[in-house]
Amino acid sequence: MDTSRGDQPTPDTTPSPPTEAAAAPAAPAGTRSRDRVSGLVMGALGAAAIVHLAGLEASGLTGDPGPRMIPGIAAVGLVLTGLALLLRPEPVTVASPGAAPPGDDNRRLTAQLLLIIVGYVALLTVAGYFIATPLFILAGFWLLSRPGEKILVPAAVTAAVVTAGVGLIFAVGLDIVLPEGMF
Amino acid sequence: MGAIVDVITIEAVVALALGSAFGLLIGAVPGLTAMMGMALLLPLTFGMSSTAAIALLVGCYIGGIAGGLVSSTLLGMPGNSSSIATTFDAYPMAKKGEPVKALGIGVTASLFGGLLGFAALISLSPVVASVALLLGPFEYFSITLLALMLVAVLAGNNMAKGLAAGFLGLLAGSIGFAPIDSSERFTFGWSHLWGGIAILPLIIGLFAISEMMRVTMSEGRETPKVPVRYSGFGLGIGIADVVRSGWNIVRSSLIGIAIGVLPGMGGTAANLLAYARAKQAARNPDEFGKGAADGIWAPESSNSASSGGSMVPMMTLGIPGDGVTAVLLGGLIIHGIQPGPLLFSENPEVVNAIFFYFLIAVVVVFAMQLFGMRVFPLVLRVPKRYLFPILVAFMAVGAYAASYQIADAWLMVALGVIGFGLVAGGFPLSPLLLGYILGPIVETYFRRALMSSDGDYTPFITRPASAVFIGATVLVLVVTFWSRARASRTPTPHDRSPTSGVVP
Repeated sequence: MDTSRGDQPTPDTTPSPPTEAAAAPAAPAGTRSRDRVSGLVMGALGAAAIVHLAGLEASGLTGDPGPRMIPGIAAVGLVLTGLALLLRPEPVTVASPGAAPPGDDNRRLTAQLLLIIVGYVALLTVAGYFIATPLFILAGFWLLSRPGEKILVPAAVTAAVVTAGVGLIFAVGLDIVLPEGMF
Repeated sequence: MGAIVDVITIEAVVALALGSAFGLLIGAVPGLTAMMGMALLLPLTFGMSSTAAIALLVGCYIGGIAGGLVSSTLLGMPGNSSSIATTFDAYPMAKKGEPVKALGIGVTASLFGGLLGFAALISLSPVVASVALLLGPFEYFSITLLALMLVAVLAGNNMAKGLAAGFLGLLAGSIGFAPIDSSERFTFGWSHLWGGIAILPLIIGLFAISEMMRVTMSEGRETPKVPVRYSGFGLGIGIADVVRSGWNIVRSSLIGIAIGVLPGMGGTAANLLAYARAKQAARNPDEFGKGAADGIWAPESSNSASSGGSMVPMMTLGIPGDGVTAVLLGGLIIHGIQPGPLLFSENPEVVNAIFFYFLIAVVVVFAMQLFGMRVFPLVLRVPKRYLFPILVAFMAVGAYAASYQIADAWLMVALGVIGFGLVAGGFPLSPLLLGYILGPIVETYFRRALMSSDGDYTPFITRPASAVFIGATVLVLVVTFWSRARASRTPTPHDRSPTSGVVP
């Protein structure tokens, strides 16, 4: 593993304080098209739920509306709210003052963070806690370090301390058997 | 007195202290909320007695609400939504060179607000619980529906999105075997879902994983800088300051309690409303926004008082008033405690424990803030490269530990992605959680009510209490829809600004 991050420029993300006017969150840019997509997804989910519920049998108990009624109402509600978002998306207003839209770097970083979290759970499944956790901590430390930072020693120490610490809390403190992996 | 002594254990007192400190730390970091803190602590409660678990979660709840003061004052960034209005005057006061005074006012206001909220909790809860015992399934269905609708339409800015999140939560809550007849729904043959989506991966995924992704998306690798340094001792205020703002504190706390009791409102509305009222009543309203002391007393006493208020419906009816109390309710359910009117008659020791540890948490959080005023800001400097991997390791093992099934860790990640997507799309998450928790309750009462009336729906509107709640639900929907439709037709200054770019 590299001992330092690459030399990418770091944006100045020092936040600016909110004002009273900024307290009410405003719709982010691109909201209309996003609302339409959200509306489509919600409507499709609702429709799929209705189809699934149609296959259920009534309970047969006197007066009982059966297992379809409440989830059915929720599914129809989801279709209707989905339609509302599709047909009447929120108008785009100015974004909150001081809140810049996320840049490509941050999007990539978030995707990478998600990827290593997925990798961690996969490794927990296969290799167990004591192999997966230090590797994940090292990867997370590397990913979230700023460019140019020397990270090998602090990352290794953190990985060892956190693996032992979290392991002790769960295994000894709470008497929980940690994931052991498949082998 | 004996009842109180019964609930005091060393384990619970230590848990309360740890929960309070953790809540303060989490609440202090912008982006990390009390909800996330409680989600993180839930796995730790597995090995604890229910009393210690209650103490840990209540401590984290109170600490998490109070902790938002630190970053609001020193960074001008609200640590959580309950402290948005605090930034308006605490940050300017800190910038003017009086950070200790700003923090001192906030800490003291939290103490008074918390104590008044506690007084409301212990005086209102038994009354509401005894009235609730008289209600039947028709009334319970109606009141639960009202709570769900209130949260759905009041959370966020868009009614359709709030309702959609609530419906999504209802569907999530109906996964697995149905109540009454045990029909299998939405399991798609996966036996892991027979019991429904487990509450722990749902809470951790929705509120912790998604929040971490959201913070990474908005801040990247950067950690906010803490620009203000200060030294000295004491609170920076005297008794005369408290007396001078006495009525403001009481009025703001009453606003907080009243808003907290209503489902769907919570600390966010409480602190903004109390601030607005304090400004309206001030002799020199022009000083607000420039470091006015009353502009800190009001929101901080109000948001702390709302904690006590929002515990009332959660304790007496089993209906959480907001997302944080929904997580708290989830924690109690995990320990086999079902809040509601019967809790008061069947498990008074649990009620005593919640009341007692709520009060102690208010005092402990005050003491910790008093002595840790110079230490807690340091948490704002913890880089993400330490914080996030540690939290993820903790959460993944915690989600697994609930059922010893790695599938729950996968579920946590999947729900984290869904939560992140929903937040990015402007959907509030509280209605989803409430729908998930209240869905099975709503369905059980609905089906029981209809079975008792042989399928006759009219008692929902002929029984007086049920009719009131159904009427209130319809009224909330109509009024909210009407007012938002009217607001959307009225152009705001933002819409007219050259940078707003209203897209057709």
